[in-house]
Amino acid sequence: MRLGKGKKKVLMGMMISLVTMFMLLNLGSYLSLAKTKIVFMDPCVPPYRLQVTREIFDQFEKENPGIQVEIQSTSSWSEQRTKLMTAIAAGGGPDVFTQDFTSFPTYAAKGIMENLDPYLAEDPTIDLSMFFDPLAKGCQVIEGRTYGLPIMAVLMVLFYNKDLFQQAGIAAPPETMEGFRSTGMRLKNLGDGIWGFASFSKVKIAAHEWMCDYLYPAGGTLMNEDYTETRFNNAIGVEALQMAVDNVLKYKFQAPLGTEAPDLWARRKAGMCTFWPYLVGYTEKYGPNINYGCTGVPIGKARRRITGGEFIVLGMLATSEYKEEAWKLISFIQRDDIHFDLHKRRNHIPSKKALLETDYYKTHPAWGIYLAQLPTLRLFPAEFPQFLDTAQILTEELENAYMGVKTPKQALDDAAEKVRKVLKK
Amino acid sequence: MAKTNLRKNLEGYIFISPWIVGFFMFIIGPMSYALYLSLFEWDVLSPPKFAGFMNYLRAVKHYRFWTSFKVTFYFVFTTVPLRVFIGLVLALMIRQLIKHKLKGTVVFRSIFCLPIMFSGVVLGILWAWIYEPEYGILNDLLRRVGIKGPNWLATPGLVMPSIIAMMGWWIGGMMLIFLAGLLDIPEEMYEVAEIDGASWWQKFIRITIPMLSPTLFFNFTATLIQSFQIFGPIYVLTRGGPANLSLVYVVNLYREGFELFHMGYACTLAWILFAIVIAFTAFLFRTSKLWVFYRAR
Repeated sequence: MRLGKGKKKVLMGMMISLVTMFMLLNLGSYLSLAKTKIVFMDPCVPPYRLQVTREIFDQFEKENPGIQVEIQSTSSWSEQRTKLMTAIAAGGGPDVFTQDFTSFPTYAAKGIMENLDPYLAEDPTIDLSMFFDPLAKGCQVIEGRTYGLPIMAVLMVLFYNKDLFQQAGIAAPPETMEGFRSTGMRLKNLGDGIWGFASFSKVKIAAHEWMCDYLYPAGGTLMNEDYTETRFNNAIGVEALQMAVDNVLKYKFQAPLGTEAPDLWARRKAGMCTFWPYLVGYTEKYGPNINYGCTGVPIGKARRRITGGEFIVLGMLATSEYKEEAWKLISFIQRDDIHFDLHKRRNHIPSKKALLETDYYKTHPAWGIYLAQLPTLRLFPAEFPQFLDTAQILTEELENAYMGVKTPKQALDDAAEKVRKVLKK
Repeated sequence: MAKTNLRKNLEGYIFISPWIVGFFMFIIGPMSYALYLSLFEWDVLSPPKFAGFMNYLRAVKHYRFWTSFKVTFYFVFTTVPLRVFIGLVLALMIRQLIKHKLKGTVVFRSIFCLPIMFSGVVLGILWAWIYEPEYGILNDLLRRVGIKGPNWLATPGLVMPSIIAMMGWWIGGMMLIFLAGLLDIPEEMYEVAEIDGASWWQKFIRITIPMLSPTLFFNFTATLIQSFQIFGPIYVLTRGGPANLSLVYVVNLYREGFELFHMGYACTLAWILFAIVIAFTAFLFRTSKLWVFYRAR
């Protein structure tokens, strides 16, 4: 079939339009090929943190016109580990990423993370002495070499709703575990669906939460010093867990397993809540008018304030093709003004000593308390290789105890038995 | 003649070659590699270490393996009959609407099929809100009639029934297949039965079920295989918790491979599951001769 001249012109016109459209649509890609693209991975949750990060990285791109930063956001640290692991296994991975302390030593030991000492030696703007001491030391995990820089500290404080306290006739937040229980029960008696205390959340892991809230203040510990034996099922551990379980099942002032503490808190249905810095931003977004205060986690039998926690590390992938650009991003993030802006807007605790001294952090109702607890921070024992397996086993058995399926002693003894088998391997 | 046949065969293979290439690349290839990896200890971050059959031995001795086995069997042998039953009942109802030319066929069919438009993840998120103990719609409705709703996903006896109830919602596809099978049954058979004085129950047992048996067999087998592999809705809803009460097999597999970094062991679990599913499917096919009746064409 032969096309007429007119139809040929129409067909030609259509083809030219299609090709032009295709080229215009891909123009952006062609232009960006002229830039170096680096990938940054971080759990930017809740969603406002992603927006803040993007805005700050836009500033980085303006200062470094040849570099483009793509943000890969994950929904949790667990998902971050999974995504990072699968990307690395596939021969890829982000150039710069944040990593929680429970995985950092393992990643550093397996050569996933780049040794940053040469970069630190050449960059006069960053020095480990700028960071809060335990965090800086924690980054020098393999024979004193630095495999990441601390970006934020993560620990728990006790949030309390001042209005509910006033309604219940309670003058001040509890200082001790004994006071904590009586305060919780008085708040619960307010009725109307109000809980004295909320702590469980999908954002947390039961084992970590128990260590922060009850085990450490009781003077307990998870393992022995060389991580060859369990200690969580000794008398201190059992008593600490019994206290936790009684608060849920016997005295019924703690919101049970399956509830979401941030949600209850934002809806003013929890008189007290222990949580990570995550709750500060969550309160600002979803419960802005809550009249709240913060204090340290109540003191237990250890007779001194101890709060469990960890820190987040900012690192570079050892196999990154753009290490120079990646270091520029790390250096940018650790710059005082950026570090401050990022942490203020994302609601994190900064890791740099100079920023911890600023009025904003010292006088903020929540941050001031978090900072005051930093000297009492006791890091989770993430250095032993079977930490993840141990935390998983402990979480399962703690959940059995919290649901009343097993007594605290049974649960911890069963957990210890399973952990022993894991340690033997 | 031989040349013509060869050409015809070659043409056929060329036409199906995209599927064959895809099958080998995306199914056989990864399965073979998983079988190979199942003989290694591999944490993904370091090179694999040969372990022989240690992973298989480990599975047999591991408490989580048996827990996930029990939970999965409980899930499969409750959900499959339930979903088949609900799918069949709904299909029978729609068929009656069609048979008596009543209004609403399209509306009801659409409503029943709506849940299958959602992915498993969306299903899990939706039901997480429904089952939320403080603010979920279910406990809110119960509260309005003076009943304090339980903690559906954190009470030992209620976790799995809550999940099974959620799966009962996801039957649209099965219902459509049953409906097609029901509409294929010749009406004359029912007319003859009516003339002979058969009751509705006798017609159902003696005509509907035997004539529908191939469709029943297909739905039963497909749902069984799907149920053994359930992951998305349960992972989103409970992540296998609390205390492994909802730890179905594939959630355990995912946890071992992607959360605890035991990828070699996870591959072992995958092959064990494959063997179990094959065994059950083979059993169903073998026994189908006893109860599935194919009509002569």
